Amino acid sequence: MMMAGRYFMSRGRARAVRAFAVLCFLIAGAGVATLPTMLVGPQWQAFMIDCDDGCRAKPQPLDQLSPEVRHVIANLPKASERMTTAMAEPYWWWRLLGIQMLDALPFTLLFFSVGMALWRFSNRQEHRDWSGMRWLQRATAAGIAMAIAEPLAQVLRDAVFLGAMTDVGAFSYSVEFTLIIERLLLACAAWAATWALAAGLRARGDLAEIV
Amino acid sequence: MPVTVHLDMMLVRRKVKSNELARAIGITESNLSLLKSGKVKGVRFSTLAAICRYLDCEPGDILGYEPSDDDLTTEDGA
Repeated sequence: MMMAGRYFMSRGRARAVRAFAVLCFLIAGAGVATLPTMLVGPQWQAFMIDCDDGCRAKPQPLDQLSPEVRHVIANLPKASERMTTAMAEPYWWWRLLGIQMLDALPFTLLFFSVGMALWRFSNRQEHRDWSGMRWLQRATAAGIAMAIAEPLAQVLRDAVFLGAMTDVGAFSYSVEFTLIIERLLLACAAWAATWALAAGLRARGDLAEIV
Repeated sequence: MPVTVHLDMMLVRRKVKSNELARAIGITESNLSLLKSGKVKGVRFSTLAAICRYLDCEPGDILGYEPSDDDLTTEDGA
């Protein structure tokens, strides 16, 4: 039974939940902001601040690669010239933009969904809007997509760099499947828990109509 | 729903007012009103027992059933 005027959580707690929601929105915004930067300054996806000769930021595009591929490319003769030539190739960046989308979109969707869920849950009234559960379910689905998309994006990114900068026809590449499966299992467990929670809430809603 | 509620009729027969029954069995008048109009998904056995005890009747005097093919499966498909 609903009781008008009763509050589910204190004002302070509701504010804290909203603050976390805003933080999630900012993280999601940062994730999506990496996409236009791919077009404007793609080499700045990774950078370092070098203080040897006055502190200046320097692009480090190779830092996005896995250590073994970075090692191969760093040891190439005329690595920096090859890099400059590759960077001048527009299709190369379009490919990287696609890979970045694969990498960033599930991440962005995950944090946006968590933010939306928290925002909805921060409603203090007892007869709150439980649609936040739907956003949590979306977040866990994005988590599952992220567990697969991130390592896949890494493999593709490495392949694009290797293809553009080396003459290697075939390259052996080790993929850490244990880590991928662990992440996938965690994401699936979160999805199942959210689904069970939503089913429980639905059942409680049905019980409310039983006198 | 083919399960029908004849509580109104029973209240008239026993000359009992809704608010009196609601008070006696410990449910709100609005819930009793919903029950009378059949706008509920279910009735607890305890509520049904309390109504039958107070009105001195059987559950079958309050609830009826009109057969329907839709009832061959439950609402959630279970």
